[in-house]
Amino acid sequence: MRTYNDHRQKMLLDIQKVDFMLVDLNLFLDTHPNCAEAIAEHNKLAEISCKLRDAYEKQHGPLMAKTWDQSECNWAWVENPWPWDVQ
Amino acid sequence: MWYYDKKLQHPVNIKKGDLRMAKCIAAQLGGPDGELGASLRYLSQRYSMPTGKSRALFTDIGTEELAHVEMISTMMYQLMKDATIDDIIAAGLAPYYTQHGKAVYPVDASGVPFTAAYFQSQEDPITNIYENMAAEQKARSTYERLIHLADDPDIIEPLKFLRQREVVHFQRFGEALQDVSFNRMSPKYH
Repeated sequence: MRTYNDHRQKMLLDIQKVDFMLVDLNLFLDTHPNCAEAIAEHNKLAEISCKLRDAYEKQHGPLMAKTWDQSECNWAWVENPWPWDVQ
Repeated sequence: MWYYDKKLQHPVNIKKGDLRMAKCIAAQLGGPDGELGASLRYLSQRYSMPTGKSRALFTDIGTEELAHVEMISTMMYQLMKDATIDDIIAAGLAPYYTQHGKAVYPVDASGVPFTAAYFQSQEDPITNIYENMAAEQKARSTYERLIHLADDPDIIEPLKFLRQREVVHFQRFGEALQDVSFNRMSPKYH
């Protein structure tokens, strides 16, 4: 079992914060698809999310099964912890 | 189709078990105004929605509700996992334990299993949106009662997050109502 560590938790929390802003903006844009300000904010946050997710996955394994690093020889997707484990 | 993201939408880390709260929080997993019903409601209704905006919104809120099913399920799991037989009997959860052990299973706060009879999906898009706005308000009210019942900040904090999402979804459905009404020229819809 992968050990829980503060660094992993902090990286994950940063992703959760940015991705939450993206989810909320996504809903706003569904009903305001021509709002240039919201689109600009969305694009900015999407770029930050990509970078944070890349950095996380290199150290702590894939966030999505399709984003696993092909250079690895093990299927890191199966590693604990899973989201329902107390972190 | 969907992809799974290996994280919660919002952190849930409950260090102290609490079967009384697990029993009450079950309302938002398998209850009439719970997250599972919400997700299935919007994801079933979306096929009847006439505009791009409302189709997008129903898809995206229905998807977010699945993330809320996961948060509530995680709360149930963490609240129940270290319970002893004595704790279970004292909390009145012996019948639940008989059928499920300490597994997560969608029931309401009284132990009644989830049913699709809790939600509707109709052809009329206006009818669907009004149901959804009411559903978001009922879920908000339920979260407020759960917050009143809880005393552990680890439980209260994610409940407050989920309550706030009900408010945002209500607002977005209201905007979808305007969009769909505007796009409906036929008087029979008004």
